[in-house]
Amino acid sequence: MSRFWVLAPVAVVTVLLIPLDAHAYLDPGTGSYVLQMIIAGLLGAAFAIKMSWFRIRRFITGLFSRNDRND
Amino acid sequence: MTATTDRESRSVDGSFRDPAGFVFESAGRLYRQINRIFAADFDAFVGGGLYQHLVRDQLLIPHTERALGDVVSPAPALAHRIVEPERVGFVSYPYEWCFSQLKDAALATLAIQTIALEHDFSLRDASAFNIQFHRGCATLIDTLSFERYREGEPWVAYRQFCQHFLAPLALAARVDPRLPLLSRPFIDGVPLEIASRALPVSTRWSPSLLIHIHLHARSQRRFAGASMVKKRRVGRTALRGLIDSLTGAVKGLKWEPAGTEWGDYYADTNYSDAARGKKVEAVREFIVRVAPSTVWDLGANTGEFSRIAAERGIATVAFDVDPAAVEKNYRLVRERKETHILPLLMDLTNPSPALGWDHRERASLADRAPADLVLALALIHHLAISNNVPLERVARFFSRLGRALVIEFVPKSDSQVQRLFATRTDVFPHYHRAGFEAAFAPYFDTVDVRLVEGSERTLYLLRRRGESSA
Repeated sequence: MSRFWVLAPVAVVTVLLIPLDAHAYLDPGTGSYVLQMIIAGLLGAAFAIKMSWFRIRRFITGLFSRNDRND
Repeated sequence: MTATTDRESRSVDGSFRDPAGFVFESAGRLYRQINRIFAADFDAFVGGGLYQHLVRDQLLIPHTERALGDVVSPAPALAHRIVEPERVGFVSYPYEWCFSQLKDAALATLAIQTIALEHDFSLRDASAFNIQFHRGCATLIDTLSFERYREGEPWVAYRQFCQHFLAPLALAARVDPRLPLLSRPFIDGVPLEIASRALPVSTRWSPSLLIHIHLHARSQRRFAGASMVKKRRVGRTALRGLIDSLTGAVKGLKWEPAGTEWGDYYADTNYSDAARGKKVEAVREFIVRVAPSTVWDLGANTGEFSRIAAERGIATVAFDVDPAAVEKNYRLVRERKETHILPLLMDLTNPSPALGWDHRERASLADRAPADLVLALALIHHLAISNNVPLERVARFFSRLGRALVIEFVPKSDSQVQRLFATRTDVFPHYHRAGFEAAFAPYFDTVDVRLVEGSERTLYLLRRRGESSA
């Protein structure tokens, strides 16, 4: 939740900066495509943070469980 | 959807949109043709291990490849390969699923997309109609749904996923459990604009619902007229982040059935424990006598009588009008890992119609009939009295649904029927045993009749006229 609220303003600014110009044709799912492009950074960052957090947690729990076994 | 019995082959009506291939029936068997246009993607999908991975995880229907010369295709010139998928016992639709069925179908779709990305593939559609409940599991039946992942491309099925799954689930969880029925009129899923308007303001405080429903709806509105937009890269991590966020959104949506409409039915009927045991015994005996391969239990509640059939290995569909009853039944199926019972939501007074293009994309309930045996226990009074359907019409409808029928007649003296008369006058002079028998006689032959000891009810075993005896 908190991570979201930190990143949300970034997303909003990105939305405002997205230029509408003639480069590629998209089908009636245009709005859905655009939203994905807008939120990509936000969701990608959130996912990367989540994965590294999992890795750190696994490392720490691994450390402790090894200690337990040594005890 | 029904099998052809002749030697002709014809495409199945629900599968005409995709140029990559189609489903067809030939000599009563179901096949999927992969067209040449899609050869490279399909061969990579099967050859690269994704197919095997998904089948192993029970997320995709397994198939057997058939030699092109062995099967008569309706369009042989286009054929690259022909496969014969394992057949699904009963084809059901999202508007017939309870909350947890829709949720499991959504999570299966997202799990499939996650695995697909690991194999450098991506789902090119996310239609809820591509998911079926096969041996108790939400399973993708469209083997042609995969295309090779192109780095930087957004998920082409994102809109469809939100409309087919997230929007109806959010509406069910946050507004009313009956709202997923909106996928009946809206065959390509609930429009996000409607979902966004109907959902309470509080859902805007959920980051995932804010993004995938409310902002999504707004973005659709904002770019509705735009034919050109600058394309931006959506990286692989971003795509995984999108799937992760959708998974979180779906998992976060919860609905608890608070007692069922008929929840106290068994505790509050004319049945003593002994009479109840007699009824179970008689129904079991009738089922054994008919020896059906398929049973439809109409008005199944949480599936107590359906399980008499399902536990004998008979493919059983348990229909009920009450979302809470279907939800409870499905949770039992999941908990006990049952593979022969499929609980579904169905209002018999307004059953699923034929839908879509040319009325042929989605089959009506009657189109999917007949079952070998229909159970209609403690149901007749709801149709004949609550819904004013003349008994003769009930008989006619049931004769379209099943080859044999076990039906319970509940007389006016029964307290359950008395309850229906509490607020209305009795305008049913023919609602009695003799009237019931006369109404059913033109459609069914009577095989056996049992008075349920210790109650005022009668159980009939009937066989549709013209059916050979079991």
